[in-house]
Amino acid sequence: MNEQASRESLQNGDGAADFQDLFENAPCGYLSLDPEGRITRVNRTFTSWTGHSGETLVGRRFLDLLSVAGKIFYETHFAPMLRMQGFFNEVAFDLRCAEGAVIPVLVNAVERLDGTGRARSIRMTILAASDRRKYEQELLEARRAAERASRELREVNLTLEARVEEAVQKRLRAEEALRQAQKMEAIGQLTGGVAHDFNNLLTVILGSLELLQRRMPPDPILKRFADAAEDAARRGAQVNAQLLAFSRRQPLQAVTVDAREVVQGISGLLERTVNGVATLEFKLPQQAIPIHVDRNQLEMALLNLVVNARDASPGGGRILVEGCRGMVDGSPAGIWISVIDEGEGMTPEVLERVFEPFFTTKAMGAGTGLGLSMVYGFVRQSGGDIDIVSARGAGTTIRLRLPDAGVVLPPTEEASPLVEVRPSDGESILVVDDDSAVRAIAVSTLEQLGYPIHQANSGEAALRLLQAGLKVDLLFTDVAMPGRLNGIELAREARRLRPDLRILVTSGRLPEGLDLDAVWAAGGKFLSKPFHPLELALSVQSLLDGENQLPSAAAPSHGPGTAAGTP
Amino acid sequence: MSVLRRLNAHVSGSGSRAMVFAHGYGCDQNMWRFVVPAFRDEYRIVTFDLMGAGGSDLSAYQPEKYASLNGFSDDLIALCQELDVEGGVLVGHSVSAMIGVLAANREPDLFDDLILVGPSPRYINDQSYLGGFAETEIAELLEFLDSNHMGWAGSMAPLIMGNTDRPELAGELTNSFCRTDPAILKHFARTTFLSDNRADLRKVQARCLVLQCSEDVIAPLAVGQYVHDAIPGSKLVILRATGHCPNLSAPDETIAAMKAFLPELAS
Repeated sequence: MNEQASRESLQNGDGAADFQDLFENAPCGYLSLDPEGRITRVNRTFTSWTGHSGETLVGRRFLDLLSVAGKIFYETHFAPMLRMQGFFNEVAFDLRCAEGAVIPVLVNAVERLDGTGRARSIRMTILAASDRRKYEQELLEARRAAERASRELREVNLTLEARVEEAVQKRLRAEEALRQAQKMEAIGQLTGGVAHDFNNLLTVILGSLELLQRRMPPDPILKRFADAAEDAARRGAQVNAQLLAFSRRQPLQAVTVDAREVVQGISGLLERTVNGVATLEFKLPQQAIPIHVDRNQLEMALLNLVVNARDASPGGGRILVEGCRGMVDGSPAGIWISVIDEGEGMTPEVLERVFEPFFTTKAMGAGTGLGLSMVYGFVRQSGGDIDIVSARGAGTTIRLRLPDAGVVLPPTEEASPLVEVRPSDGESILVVDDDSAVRAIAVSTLEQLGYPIHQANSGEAALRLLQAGLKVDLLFTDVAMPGRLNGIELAREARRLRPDLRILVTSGRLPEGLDLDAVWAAGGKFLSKPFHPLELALSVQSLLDGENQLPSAAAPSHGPGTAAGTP
Repeated sequence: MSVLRRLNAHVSGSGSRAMVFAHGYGCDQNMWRFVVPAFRDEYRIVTFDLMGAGGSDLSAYQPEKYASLNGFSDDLIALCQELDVEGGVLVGHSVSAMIGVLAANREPDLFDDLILVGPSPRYINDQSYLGGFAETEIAELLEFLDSNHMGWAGSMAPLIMGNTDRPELAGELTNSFCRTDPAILKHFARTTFLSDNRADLRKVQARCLVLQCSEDVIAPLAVGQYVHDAIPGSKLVILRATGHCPNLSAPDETIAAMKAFLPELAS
């Protein structure tokens, strides 16, 4: 029936035509299928939606219009359900249209039975579901988002405790590290202060002993006592030197040397120290490893480390001394010098306190407890760092990281020949020290050599003398003095007034904020306390003999070398 | 919980020889409702729901166990052993045809006869083997189940979204058979359609009937032929019925083919 005819029939009140119109033009698709799922009848709404004509649809199976997923669902769910319960409603399918498009639909199906209960036909109502499907997708997306959010919240809650615990632990570790650093700093201040005062005492003791011995009648008993006193004072000075090293206030004279040469130079001493208790081995690279440190202190540090390694290896084993240019992630990371033993190792409790001065695990009298303290202070003062890895029964590795000189080394210099002390040629000296006993020793020593001496007990007093036109050839001054001017500042002022003035600076420890560069900058040479009268005499003499331009004479060259071996 | 309760097993019938019915993907033991009555007088009938389907104990569904058909055949063996099945008949539809084959190969004493309805040892084509689906088509199915599931899941699940506080409403809207959890439905589809049990066919020792429908998109004719060729001494019957579920769409023809195959029972 065509459109025209159906309209006419309707106007005529034709009941059959009315139903026909209802069927063909309902706002949903109608399909009749045989029990096997083949289409037998289809309304106009369905054909207009899908673009398939009625003729092509009749005889085809409904599932032929479905995608693969739809076909599987139809056979495994739709058809069985329809057969079992007689209907199946609101099933979402995608229908393939004639032009290749796909329309989302909802399908309601009902079985019509014959008299025997067998399926006679299947009626399907097809509803267009584009809007609904879109809405469903949005709902699904919203549900997924909600599930995701709730899952994330659950995870956050689950991990909250662990993360708080971790943060607290991290904080505790940081606080512990800070506490440890503060403790070391405080001990350093304390030992530094004590050692400074002690140095002045030792200087007086040593100087007095020296002068005493010269004036003493030649009595072997008196000489033995005097020698013992001097020996004890020297050992006291050594202990003091280590305390100063720990407090990082010792005057360091950093030079550029090949670390291999330092290690090799001291290897004989180290061998004797180990004395067959353990096997000492060295591992050094082919190339030079230029390092910028105080050579004497490095030797002392190595000796201390090897002594400790030996004492930790009563059952023997290997002690390895290793040096190399360190690399971290392909970048140079300083010079590494390690001492590795296979000995008893340390407990965490010992490890925590191992750098503290006077902390020792050795038997009473067997160690001072200053060895590792000295190493620690020296390395830190040199701008380096120290790592220690140890566990009970697993040996100990201590690695020093020291500044890479970053240069190619010139060939080793010849050792300078010994200089003999000679009497004064009449050059005069101004001695400045706030400690009158120390000053007296210096004055006495220099007077014996025939130098005319002037004295001052403070930087200001000395400067006033110079400003007043006092003629002297050399200024010998302590660094740390009360008052407005310390020794370095005095040296600087004096140089300004008298550019040709020779300057010798002495100190047991450098005041905070000062290093030897300040001494060089002030044009001075340095003599460390406690000094032996002979050392004072030699320093004065060498200055007066013209080796005064100290920045070039005593400070090492940092310029790029042109040494042999450089291509 | 006993395996009978877990798998919602029902035993009926007045015979002594056991006939165990195993349903396929997408449904539950209700799908045997038109076939079972024809055998009730002569056999001891066992019907049950595969784990995850129908009235099985969904809380016992373990994704790792049921990631392969062996998990389901373990259940079938446990069920039959619990019921002292020996020398029985296994009627397996669709994926349960292969579950039955796996169980029979593992425990040859359980079944003397296997009736495989619409079996497929592998759904995805593989070189010269025609399983009926390209790999991309199965991927599309699984993807579809993953992404757009509301219509299908809603039609199968006991609860739909938004009505969790009024389950009685959900009951009115949805269907009374073959309910399952959408997540389990997805997982079971993956296990089923990615399975490959072709090598197991050659090991079958029991008598075997392959019931093949015409025009079955799930298990096409070529697959039924393959199964028949692979199982030694098997019998192939091609039904006039179309579709994948002749037990529902053509129960009379199905029953007749089964009876023709099964040996006379010495009563």
